[in-house]
Amino acid sequence: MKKNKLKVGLFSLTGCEGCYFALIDKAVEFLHLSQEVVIKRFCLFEESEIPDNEFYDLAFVEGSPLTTANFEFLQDLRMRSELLVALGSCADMGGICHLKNYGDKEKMHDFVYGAKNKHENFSVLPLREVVKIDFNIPGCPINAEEFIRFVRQVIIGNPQKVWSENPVCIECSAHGYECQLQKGKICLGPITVGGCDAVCLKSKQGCYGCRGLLEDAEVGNLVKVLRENNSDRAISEVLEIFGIKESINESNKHENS
Amino acid sequence: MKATNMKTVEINHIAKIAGHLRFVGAIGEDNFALARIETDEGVRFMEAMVLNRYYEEVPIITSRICGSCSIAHNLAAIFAVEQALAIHPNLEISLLREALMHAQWIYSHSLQTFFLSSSDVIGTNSNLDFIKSCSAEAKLVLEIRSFGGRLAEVIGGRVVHPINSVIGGFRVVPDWQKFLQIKNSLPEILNKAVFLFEKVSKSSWPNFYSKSLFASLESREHYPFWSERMKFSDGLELNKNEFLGEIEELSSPNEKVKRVLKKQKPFFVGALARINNSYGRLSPLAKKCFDSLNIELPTYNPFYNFYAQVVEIINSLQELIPILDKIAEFLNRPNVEKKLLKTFVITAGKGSALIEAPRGLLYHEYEIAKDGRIMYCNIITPTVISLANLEKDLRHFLPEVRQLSEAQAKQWIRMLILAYDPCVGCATH
Repeated sequence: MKKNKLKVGLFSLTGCEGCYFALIDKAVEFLHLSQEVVIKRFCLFEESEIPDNEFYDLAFVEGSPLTTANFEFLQDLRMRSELLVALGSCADMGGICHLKNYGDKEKMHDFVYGAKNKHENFSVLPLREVVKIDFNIPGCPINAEEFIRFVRQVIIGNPQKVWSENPVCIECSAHGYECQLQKGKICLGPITVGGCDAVCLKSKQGCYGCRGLLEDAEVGNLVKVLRENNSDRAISEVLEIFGIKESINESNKHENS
Repeated sequence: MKATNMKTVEINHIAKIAGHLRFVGAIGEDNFALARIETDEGVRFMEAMVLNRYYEEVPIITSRICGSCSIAHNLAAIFAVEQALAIHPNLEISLLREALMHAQWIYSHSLQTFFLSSSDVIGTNSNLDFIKSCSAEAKLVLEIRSFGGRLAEVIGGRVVHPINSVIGGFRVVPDWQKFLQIKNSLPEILNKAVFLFEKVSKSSWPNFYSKSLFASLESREHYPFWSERMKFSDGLELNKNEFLGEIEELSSPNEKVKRVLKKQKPFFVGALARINNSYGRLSPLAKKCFDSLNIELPTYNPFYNFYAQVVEIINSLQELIPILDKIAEFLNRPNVEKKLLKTFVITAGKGSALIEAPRGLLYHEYEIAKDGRIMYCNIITPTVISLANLEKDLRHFLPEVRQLSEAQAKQWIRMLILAYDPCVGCATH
């Protein structure tokens, strides 16, 4: 008996939507995939103004919750979704916007909007700190191939992580890219989840950890190496860019407790 | 606000744009109209986020303002920082950046054209049918978009959020074989773009007139791209450093998107502004295509921004032919990598850049301390600039659609908003 197609929704909170652009850049594969499921909503394209009260088998959320409406939507969507997936660094770990958390957010607000016209100004949280998240697709932006592989896994009834358990470092050396660590540059390749094909290293840009912290990552060893050529401030700032610093702090807390 | 018999129109979600936009309008019996665009998007404080951080991170952070025009933000940030650090790019670096920028225009405009060519642009209420009914034209658009994407990737290292395009130039030399493949496919893509233009040029738009002031860069040499000078359609020409003095950026309560005015007047930036101001510098083929539309210039019909964007795709593709030829002359030479990345010393300084992003004028400004830390940042995006003008057009447009059914009126209001190609990520940054 033919099973019903999966009902899929693609949603956005506050963000650049680059993950969805990366996805539609894989137009052919995405079009094929979209035949195998029912895409009920896609924030970039949908026309409907009708409030969405659909129940989703699989819902993806990109961006950060930065308004009350964002939070309410996320909580509501959680209740209407069998599987809720954090899409991209912002949703997964706070991403670039998370930099706000390291500054004085009131001062930052006033710098941009002035002190008179106040706007909602929440700290930037990964989605998992707001609702239960079942899976994440990492990266800034995502690797669209991983997205497609993940949806295929869900279609065959076996949702699971589709990216490697290896660090970015392994993909980098497999390509024979120049090692930025050996050059004394800051690179988080040894502690960051692989699956990006070491795309930054290809452009001789050290890894900034946008795909998140690898399980059992040996952060201490890396920091020791980085300290040989870099100041603590410089190292700390690179750890901050996409929010991997918070994951390290979290895992340290677990170890110490 | 007038209280008597105002008929209100609200659209809670404008589709087919990056981000969340809502339209609220009202019209009285005397055709007095109000129109406002609002957003549910939160504010991210990108300008504050780069403060006290190292200059190298600026293009990385600010490209994340927008996934659709990340290259434009990357380049604007680089130009501004390079001015602050007194770095002067050489011809090789400039040519690669020009190619990257054309790739950005093609990539960004083609998504708009996709909607223009998809059957559900007008009149129907379908939402995701674009996927199922992906017409031959829509497939063509995707092919053209993919050309822009591949070119951006080979030069910038990645399409969304470039990596290889950095302060000082390019860290790695674009792959020669991939570059050649892309270069060789250009004539065919250009033909396809002209074919596509002929298809979409048959769409019909309302005969709507709303007089606007247009602003774009001004260059004597080519179609506006980046330049030290800009101009308004009222004849005022300014150096990029004088631009800020001429405009006001207004922030008001509950408005996350600021508005930009010139002497209390809104103005329009983007493809239509560029064509109105610089038609004479379009490439021959782009000019020929535009001429076939029989649109008298200057045109004050904002719906024609759709056409202007398609014409600009052709313009970019044709302008790319000599640019890619020139790049091919040096890209495969030995030691070219030394030419592609300038060395420099970090000094304190100020710099700004005014460039033409796909959606119009984009301004980035930074002040850097002598230790390379960012002391000041100001970013003004095209959507922020055009928004007040869009609201002005919507006020003029409401009387035109008041006789239509609510559904039809909403559909046309949506189309007018879509014609402006607003980007909410850029608007709220």
